[in-house]
Amino acid sequence: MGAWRRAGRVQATRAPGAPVIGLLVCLGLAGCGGDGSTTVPAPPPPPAVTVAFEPGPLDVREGETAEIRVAYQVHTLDAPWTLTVSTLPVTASAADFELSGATIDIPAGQGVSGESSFELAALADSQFDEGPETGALRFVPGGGVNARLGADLQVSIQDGGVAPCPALNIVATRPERGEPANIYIHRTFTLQVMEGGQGPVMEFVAPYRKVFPDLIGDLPNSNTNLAINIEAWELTTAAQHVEHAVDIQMRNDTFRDLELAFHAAECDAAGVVCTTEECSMRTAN
Amino acid sequence: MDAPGYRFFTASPDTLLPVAADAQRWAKSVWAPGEMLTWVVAGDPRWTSRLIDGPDEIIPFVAQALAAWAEIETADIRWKVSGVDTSLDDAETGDGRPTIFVDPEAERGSYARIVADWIAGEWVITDCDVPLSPFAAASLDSDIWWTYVLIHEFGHCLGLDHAGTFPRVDEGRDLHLRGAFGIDPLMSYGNYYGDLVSLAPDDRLGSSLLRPAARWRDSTGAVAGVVTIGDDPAAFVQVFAIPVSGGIAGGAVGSFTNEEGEFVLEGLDPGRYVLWTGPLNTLHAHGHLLAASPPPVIDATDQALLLPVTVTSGAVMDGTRIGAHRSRPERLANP
Repeated sequence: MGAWRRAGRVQATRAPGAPVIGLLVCLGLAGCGGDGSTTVPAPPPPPAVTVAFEPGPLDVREGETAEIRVAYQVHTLDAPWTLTVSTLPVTASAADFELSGATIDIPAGQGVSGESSFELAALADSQFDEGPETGALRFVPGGGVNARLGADLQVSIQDGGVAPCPALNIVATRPERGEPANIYIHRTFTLQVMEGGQGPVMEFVAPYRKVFPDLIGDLPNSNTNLAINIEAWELTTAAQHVEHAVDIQMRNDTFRDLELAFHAAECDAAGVVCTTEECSMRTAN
Repeated sequence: MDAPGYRFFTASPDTLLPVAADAQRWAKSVWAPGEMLTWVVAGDPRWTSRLIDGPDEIIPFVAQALAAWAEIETADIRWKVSGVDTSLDDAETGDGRPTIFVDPEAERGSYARIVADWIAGEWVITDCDVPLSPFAAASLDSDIWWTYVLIHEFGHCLGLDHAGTFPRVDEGRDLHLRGAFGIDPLMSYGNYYGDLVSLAPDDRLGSSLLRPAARWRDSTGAVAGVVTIGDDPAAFVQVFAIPVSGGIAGGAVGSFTNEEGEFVLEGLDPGRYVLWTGPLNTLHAHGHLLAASPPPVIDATDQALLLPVTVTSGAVMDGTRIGAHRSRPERLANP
């Protein structure tokens, strides 16, 4: 049996005794013309340009800036073409990061490839218990060009903490149920302290509550004691700083704001406060 | 060192809070270093309870309480209970024979009746008896609390005054409180419902400073400094050292400042410590300090130094200055 193919048509001859392969081939190609001919849809044209982010995801710390690179390949562009990048907040908000220079100019030409870049700034704020916040970057194409655009770039912004003193940085976890869960909640505070001098003093401004021991003679019949448990305290040492991880536990039925102040040269006397909702640095009046 | 250390009874009438070298100790003629001190139980018929039918049956409880101190490896504490002395209904004060007995007139569950004599220019302990009230005696076998009380009173007999309690939310007797500070010292009026025979590090340190094991002090160091409030000394506030050398804190030890705000923490193992200051947490355990002049600062807030101090053996790390702040809610306000 022989078969040959011409553009747009398949023909098969059938040798005596040969199986009906040609007819099956004809049917397999989505039908045959009344005259025995078939049409094959033309493959899509290649994209005029392909654009993609450099491989991610991107991890950036609050207060820092990351450079984001974009690679493009031009198959055929008769004229220069522009696309932009938009931000897609997920757990991060629009106020948590911003882009600069996020306009990508693709030159005209054939068989050209290149790179472009822009910056993403993770914006610092006064909250320090946010944990990682996520978002994405997406290409926004200009019209008129058949372009293949790469997948969104996932972005994770790490909480940079706050610095009530120049030599001190604080981050905290979100409040979690303690042990027992029906009594306590707790957060872990990570305090990074630069070595040198005596270092800052962390003052527990609040909460305090009254404790009533048995009255003995003329002794005072009430104390007000610090109303927290230091559940755990870990210290690690790095090249020029120490890092404390302090797990502070409070009762959840009489929860009060946790207020900390820090004392050393150039410390912000206002300190920090943790409510049930958030931990933030206070601003001095 | 002129600053006070641990809470010891003083050998001198001029010092309220002595360092270990100036603490009141047993007269060598009664209980010298390396020797055994023998306790007896008075043969009182009031030693009865649901399960106890006579003084012989409280011997194990007394032995257990004495052993809590005797097992401290860094201390030279050799004492035991020999048995019941049927010739005694109660203790004879000052006979040099430490005795446990039932005191029907005791207003409190128990106390340490310490006898000190003025010998060679200092006060020395020559006897110590521990009475129990009838209801305490009847509860020894049924409530572990009273064994804790015995351990506490025997600590007084060693020469230990009340330690400070750690800052924490007081949840009462039923919850097991540890955390970074560890259990409260048994010599405090705090929460110490932990392992019965494992005293807190603070108890072990204080007793070791009083009766040190051979060459133990050679391996230890100290931290000294001053706590102030503005330009004034912070008198009689607590200073705690939380050990963090191994990365994870466990078992703080404490001291008090004197009238000048000065403090020293002696007998520390070499390593790094986070220092914490704060006023007395259990005022009713420190009546003699409340009556002192100047009175203790009780309205300062708690605070921690964020750069740890490093202790080396044989050395005193001096010069630590801690500025406290009067921000705590009024301690003496009516509820």
